[in-house]
Amino acid sequence: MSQATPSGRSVMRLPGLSRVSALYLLAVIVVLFGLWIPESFLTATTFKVVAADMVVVGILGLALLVPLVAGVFDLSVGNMLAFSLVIVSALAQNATLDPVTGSLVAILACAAVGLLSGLVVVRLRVNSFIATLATSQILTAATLLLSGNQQITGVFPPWFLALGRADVLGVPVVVLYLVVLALVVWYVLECTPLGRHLLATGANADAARLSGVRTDHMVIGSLVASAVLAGIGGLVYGAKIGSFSNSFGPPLLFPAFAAVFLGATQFLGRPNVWGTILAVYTLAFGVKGLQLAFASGVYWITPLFNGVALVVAVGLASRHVAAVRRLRRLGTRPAPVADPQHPDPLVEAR
Amino acid sequence: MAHALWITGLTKDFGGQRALDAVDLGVEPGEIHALVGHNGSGKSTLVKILAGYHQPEQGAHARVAGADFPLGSPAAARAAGLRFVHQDLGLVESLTVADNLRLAADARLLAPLRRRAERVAADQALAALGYDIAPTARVGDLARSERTAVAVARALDGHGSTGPASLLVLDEPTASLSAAEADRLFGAVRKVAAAGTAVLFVSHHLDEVLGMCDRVTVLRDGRRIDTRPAAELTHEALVELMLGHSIGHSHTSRPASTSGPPPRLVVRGLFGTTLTGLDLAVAPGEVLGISGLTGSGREEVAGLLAGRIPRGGDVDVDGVPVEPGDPRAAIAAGIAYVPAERARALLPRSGVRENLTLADLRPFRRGHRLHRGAEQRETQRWITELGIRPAEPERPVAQLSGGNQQKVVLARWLRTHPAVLVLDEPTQGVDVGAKADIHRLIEEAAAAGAAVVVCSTDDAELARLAGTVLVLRRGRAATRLTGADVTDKRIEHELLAIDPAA
Repeated sequence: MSQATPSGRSVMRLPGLSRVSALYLLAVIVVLFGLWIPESFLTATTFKVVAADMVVVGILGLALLVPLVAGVFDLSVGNMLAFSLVIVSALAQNATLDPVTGSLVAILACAAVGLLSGLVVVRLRVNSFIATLATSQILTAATLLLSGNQQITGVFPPWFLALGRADVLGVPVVVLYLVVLALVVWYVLECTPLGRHLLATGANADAARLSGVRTDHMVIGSLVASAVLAGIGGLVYGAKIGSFSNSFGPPLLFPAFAAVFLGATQFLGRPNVWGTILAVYTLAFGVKGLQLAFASGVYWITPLFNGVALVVAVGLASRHVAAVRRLRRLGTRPAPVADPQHPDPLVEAR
Repeated sequence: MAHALWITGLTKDFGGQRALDAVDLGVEPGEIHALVGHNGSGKSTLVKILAGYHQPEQGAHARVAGADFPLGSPAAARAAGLRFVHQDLGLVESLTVADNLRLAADARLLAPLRRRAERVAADQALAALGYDIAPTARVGDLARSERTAVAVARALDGHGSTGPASLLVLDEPTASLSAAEADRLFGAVRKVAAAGTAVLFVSHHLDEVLGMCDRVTVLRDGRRIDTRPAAELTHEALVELMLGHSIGHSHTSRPASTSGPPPRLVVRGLFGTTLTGLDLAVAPGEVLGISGLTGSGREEVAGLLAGRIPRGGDVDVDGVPVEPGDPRAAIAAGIAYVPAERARALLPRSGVRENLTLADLRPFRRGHRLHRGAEQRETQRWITELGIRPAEPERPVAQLSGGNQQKVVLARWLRTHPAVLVLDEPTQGVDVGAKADIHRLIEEAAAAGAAVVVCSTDDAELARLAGTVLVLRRGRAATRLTGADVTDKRIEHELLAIDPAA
């Protein structure tokens, strides 16, 4: 139970099952596979590989998170990854443009597309789900056009590839990029008035508007931010892998969404940065463990694990399930709590 | 001949409050029976019990069309032939008339849709009520009175296998209707009654009650006072029965300011969907009350002033005109708005702190950062000052009681030191203790120099807070009460007065 101390601060209660279920799940995964296949799972290589491999999914999760906080869906971020990479790759190949300038062009292009999505949602009042779904297809077309439906390899200078493949004190440098981005997004969302306004827009756009928040600007801005973040993700991938192929991008959308929703059940009870990062790696380590344990022919393990883990963790954290569990434990009816949508008949009596 | 509806000993308690006290009611088949009573008399509780929404206390007996009827069950009510048209009509606006009528019929889920037969049936149902509405019309496009007619047709026609309606309950059906539209609806109601269905008509509009109904039952403070034929009653007699002769507590009013500082809030020709031109002026330290029945425009006033909905007319705060339809412009002008439904104002899953500070985060800014510590201290200060319980800034606001939630919303706006404070139903759904606290806070805000406007259906609240009260009727200010005239009894009298223009 939270207690109010004389100084007025709330004492944190011990994390119950619901708020840190992913942490427990991660612990279970590490212990399970650590005992089962310690020689392949509990190695520095495994941890480094998983950490580096999941960076782009992590960045994509951040890209989904920002608009989601404002109550907006951005389904185009997967395609935005590919769009950004194909721009810098094609510019390097065809115009021999250096990757720095190429990256700037890519990011600006992504921002422009994000702005377009935002304007469609706000001015034309199209549901964000639908608007960004449409954007995703336009991006696919643009990507195919720019790549000529071909792979693009060997166009980056070694120093650019080093930016994606180096190790810093034993940690893959791309992981540091993810950490930096996560810190920036976390700072803006949790420590600035802008983040507060975004949150309010997502929590109750009507109330936010009546309190003076520019909700339209919040929606547009969040879609531009998601586009830029996804654009950066594409560039990081380019530096790490060094080539562009058509299969890159959209398949990463589900694991990123799964991570955001699973992460939303952690810590704050709403979509949040550290929950998302935790979820990305919990899911990744689970999949890796299964892949190492069942060495051959387990290509289906990844999606199965992602799906099941998402349902279990979100289900455990759902308020309804928590209420039912509480009921069973107490054996009595729960005390009525005031809900603005359902007024207490005791007070509403006429 | 069995009564259509026969109830004895109907009692209902809510916690410690007795909403209905051994009420008896009898309605004959084919009769149009009115149920009247002031706010809080128990009318809507009775209707809710009939509909099965509430359970009555022990000792109530009911019979419908001669057969025993178990109160407090929606299925039983339906099976017994009780049909309801509630104030919100319950129609699906995006569907057509025929679709809405079909929704109520008990059809098998997989039976094929028979559109032509449905259209014909819809035509017949509406013609029986004297209305000519295209069954393919979208309900959202119809006029209010036509929608009411569709709701009545749906109530009557959705019988399927459960038999014809024995009793039709109409709850404030003419609330938003003009006099002409109301007359048209009464034609339909008379047809229904002539066909043998009993009608229970709940209304505040006494001229309609006396003009259309056969008998009138008056409730006051949960008791049935009397049941009389409408022909025997005059308007004055009816009002006397409703309000009683008891001296009761006549709440003290505050003296109206005769001279004094110039008004902070000046409104000319305020225009909305129902309002057709309202003028008002509120001086600093003054509290203006706005009263009116549903459909009078009272519900719109606050939202129009705050820029929530587009408005016509001029609003000036401290001499500066305020841009219409823009909440940010209203806030910049110094208008603070506490809406009627708390759900509209609160971020439900967020804590007290986020909700309280939302309107103004500037004091906590350090460069780009939000200083969490300063925010927490300020929140704690307001929690203590307003007595918000539990006194936890991080507590999700949905877990607070209605009264404490309202205090959070109030705190949000009092923090901004508004020039004009507009409140819509400030103590709706609030317990007695918090209600007194909130009234005190409103008085303090006025004393600090704000111009306060309170829109409310709680007459005692208006009598306590306001020095001047405007009673609205059909979109205009019908009466202006000041000084010693501002009492809850007088406000009620004005609300129930017959509209001379009708």
